Amino acid sequence: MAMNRQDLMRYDLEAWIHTHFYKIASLFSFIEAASILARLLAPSNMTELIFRIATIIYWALLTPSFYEFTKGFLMIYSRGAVYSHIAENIRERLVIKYRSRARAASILLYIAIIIWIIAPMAFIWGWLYAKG
Amino acid sequence: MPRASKVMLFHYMGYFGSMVLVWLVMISSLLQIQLGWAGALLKVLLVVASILFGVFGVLFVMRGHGGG
Repeated sequence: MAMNRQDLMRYDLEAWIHTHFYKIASLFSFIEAASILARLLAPSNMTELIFRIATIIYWALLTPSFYEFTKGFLMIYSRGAVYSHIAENIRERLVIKYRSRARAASILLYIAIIIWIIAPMAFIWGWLYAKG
Repeated sequence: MPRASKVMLFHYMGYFGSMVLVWLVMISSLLQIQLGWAGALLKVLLVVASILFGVFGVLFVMRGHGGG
């Protein structure tokens, strides 16, 4: 098992990071759920602070998953022309065949990342300036 | 033990649900006053998604009863 993980790290660092963040997020989800329940059942400055910090950590832990899922969906959309682990000569053919999809997929990944990153910025902004 | 397909269904509901709901909860904090009960509903849904993700992830997926 440990050997497989080392192989994965060597072969695909992104996948390795995604796997580990996924496992930590899976465990951290209990803390996130508890922090929200505490915030809803006993609202105070302390529970609000814990909820905010836990949610930012949870978002950060889910970020590699979001990135990998987005890449996966865009790989399917582009018929494997982008973000796939295939031989370069095959990829070149796919890019020629699905040029517009490949271009759109390359741009959409950046748009998705920007949309994803807007959330914690809004969250911190709302925390500091939009409190009711 | 539950069927693997059901385990994965609940797990991925929690996994994808958490991603979408974390994003929505964070964005909704800007509209805290206007949202009212909808803001609380989003948080409750995030609790449900987090528990599904955590329980099925820890009990089944991480122990080798499916993909990850």
